[in-house]
Amino acid sequence: MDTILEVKDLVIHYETDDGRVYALNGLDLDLREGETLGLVGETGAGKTTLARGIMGLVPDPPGRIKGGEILYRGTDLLRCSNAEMRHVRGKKIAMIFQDPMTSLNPVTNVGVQIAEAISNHEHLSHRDALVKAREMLEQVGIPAGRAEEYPHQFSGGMKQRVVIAIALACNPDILIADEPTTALDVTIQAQVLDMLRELREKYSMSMLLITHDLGVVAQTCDRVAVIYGGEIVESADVFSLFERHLHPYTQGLLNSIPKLNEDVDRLQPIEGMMPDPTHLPEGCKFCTRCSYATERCRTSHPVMREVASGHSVRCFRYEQEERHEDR
Amino acid sequence: MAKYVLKRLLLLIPVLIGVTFFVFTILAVAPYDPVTVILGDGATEEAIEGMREELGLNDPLLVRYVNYIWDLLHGDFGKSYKTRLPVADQILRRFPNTILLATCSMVIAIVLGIPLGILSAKKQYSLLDNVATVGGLVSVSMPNFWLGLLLVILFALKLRWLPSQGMGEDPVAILKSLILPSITLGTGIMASIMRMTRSSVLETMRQDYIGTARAKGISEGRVTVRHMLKNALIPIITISALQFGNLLGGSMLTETVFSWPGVGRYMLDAIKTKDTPAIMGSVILMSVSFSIMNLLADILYAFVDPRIKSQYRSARRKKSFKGEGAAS
Ligand SMILES: Nc1ncnc2c1ncn2[C@@H]1O[C@H](COP(=O)(O)OP(=O)(O)O)[C@@H](O)[C@H]1O
Ligand code: SF4
Ligand SMILES: [Mg+2]
Repeated sequence: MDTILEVKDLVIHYETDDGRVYALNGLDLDLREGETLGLVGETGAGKTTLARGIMGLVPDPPGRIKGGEILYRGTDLLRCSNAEMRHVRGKKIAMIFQDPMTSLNPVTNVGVQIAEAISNHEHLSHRDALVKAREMLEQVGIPAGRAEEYPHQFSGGMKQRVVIAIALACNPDILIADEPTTALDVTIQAQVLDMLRELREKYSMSMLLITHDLGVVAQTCDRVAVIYGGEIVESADVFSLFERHLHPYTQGLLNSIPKLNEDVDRLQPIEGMMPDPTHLPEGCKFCTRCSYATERCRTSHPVMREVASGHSVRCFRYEQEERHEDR
Repeated sequence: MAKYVLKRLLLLIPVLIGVTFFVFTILAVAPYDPVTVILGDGATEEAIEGMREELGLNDPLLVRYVNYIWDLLHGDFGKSYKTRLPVADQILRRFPNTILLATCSMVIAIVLGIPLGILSAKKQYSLLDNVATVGGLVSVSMPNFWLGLLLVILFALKLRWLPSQGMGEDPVAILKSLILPSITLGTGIMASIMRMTRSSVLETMRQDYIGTARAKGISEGRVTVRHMLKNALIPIITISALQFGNLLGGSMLTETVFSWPGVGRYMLDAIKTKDTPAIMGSVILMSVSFSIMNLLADILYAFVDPRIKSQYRSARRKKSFKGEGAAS
């Protein structure tokens, strides 16, 4: 499979009054044509920053892109002009934001909000765009007759469907979904995920699905990348990862999934806290919480190492590990 | 919606009763006799007493007030003590001039204030923003008549470009004579509209839906107008309507500085001569225009924000729903 989007060594910082927030620190990621890649990590790991970085929507100030490349079909988006990026946004790469309750404009009806994306990219008249917007609503399971209604007349799950309709309106190559179901009721979550999966197939898009829920990953994704402290610490296809989770952080994440027979509302978080993003540890960013941490982990920074075909991990413990060649 | 408007209009009645009673009482108890003003210093004792009787000034306060309201209800605003001309006529003749001046001032204030506010917000802490902030503070705190005098000195007396007094006869002359007083009145209002626009846009700029809008790839101009400004409008409407309501009541000082034949100047003259019917008429006009503008703002809210519209609509439904709840 060809790579459609490749992020290389991306560094993004926020310059705030409390100091410099090291949100992304040399992040590498590749998304292949037609796949769904899950990006998993705790709150504050830098997931949204990555998504905004790809869209060219990092708020500046305080955000600063310090370096790296974001290659979309070989073109570096970081070198694109604002006008060029406007042809990418919505048309080539679309994004769904985290909270459906706040991601729709409250004073414009949903039909117009969808049509706006369409008339912008497809040079249709406002009227034709509105017709297409109604079709998009049907696509996401909302009767076209509700196009003239306003966001406050929809439930959370319905709002997220509208947001999805906006994102898919121009048939993008890549869909970035930033925790699309986190803010929704559990029952609605499954519906929205199912719909995303179906539509991804139907529109033959590639999808970057951001989540902190490994359960979602297992159901939806082909590959997974685990992000911690603004860098990828483990990446593999879904089966390998669930079978052999190597990085101590990934192990912690998997152990924190509630068992079916336990009645817990919230995930058991991994022990310890995310390090202060303005003062990340010098060596391995996970060393403050890792039970295997050694002196070396605290002083030097491990690199990504491929330990099996397509399975890489950033941890000193697997340095000696022989690469399992495909037999 | 129509019901809501009607209700609000009915609410005007108690407001007007309150305002008129308040002002009427103050004028009645003030240690100042209108009759001496009317007749001059040399009047005889009998003439004064006759005049008092004629004007009904010897009746108790409450009787006089009720009489006044009774006349009002019959469309009679009384006659000016000083000129003996009907107050309603006099005010209605001047009101169009005040409307004209108020409208011009508001147009200046809105046309400059909103774009400047947006620019300040989008370039927060830039040179432009700082200049606008300082300029805004200066304009808001500067007394109107003082700015008016400065403008008169510069443009009328020194440069002789524009008239300083009165209102011209033909359209061109009227337009020319409108310029200085409109700027005088519009500057402070422009500054407050600008500040309000700036803070309101700064607020909406941070909202998630702005991200959604940008992610569609639409132009920054469209994001600004269709998404930021449209959501920032409510407080801008509020402040504009209040200011316009104020202006419609007449601006005493500015109209006087420029000898503008409007209701503000009429009111100031009336106050100077303690001309009770004329003052009362002006006060009523002030409170009515202020209240109507308030109501207009409330109606406009419904047009810019569908959530407010549905509130107006559902007000009745909610009430009946509550009733059912209590019954069960
Ligand atoms: N606008 C911002 N200003 C300052 N810091 C920010 C901003 N946005 C995000 N951050 C910081 O950057 C880090 C990464 O945040 P984010 O990308 O939102 O993580 P995630 O989406 O994984 O929860 C966090 O420490 C967060 O506090
Ligand atoms: S490098 Fe060290 S501290 Fe980091 S995850 Fe591996 S063992 Fe833990
Ligand atoms: Mg996030």
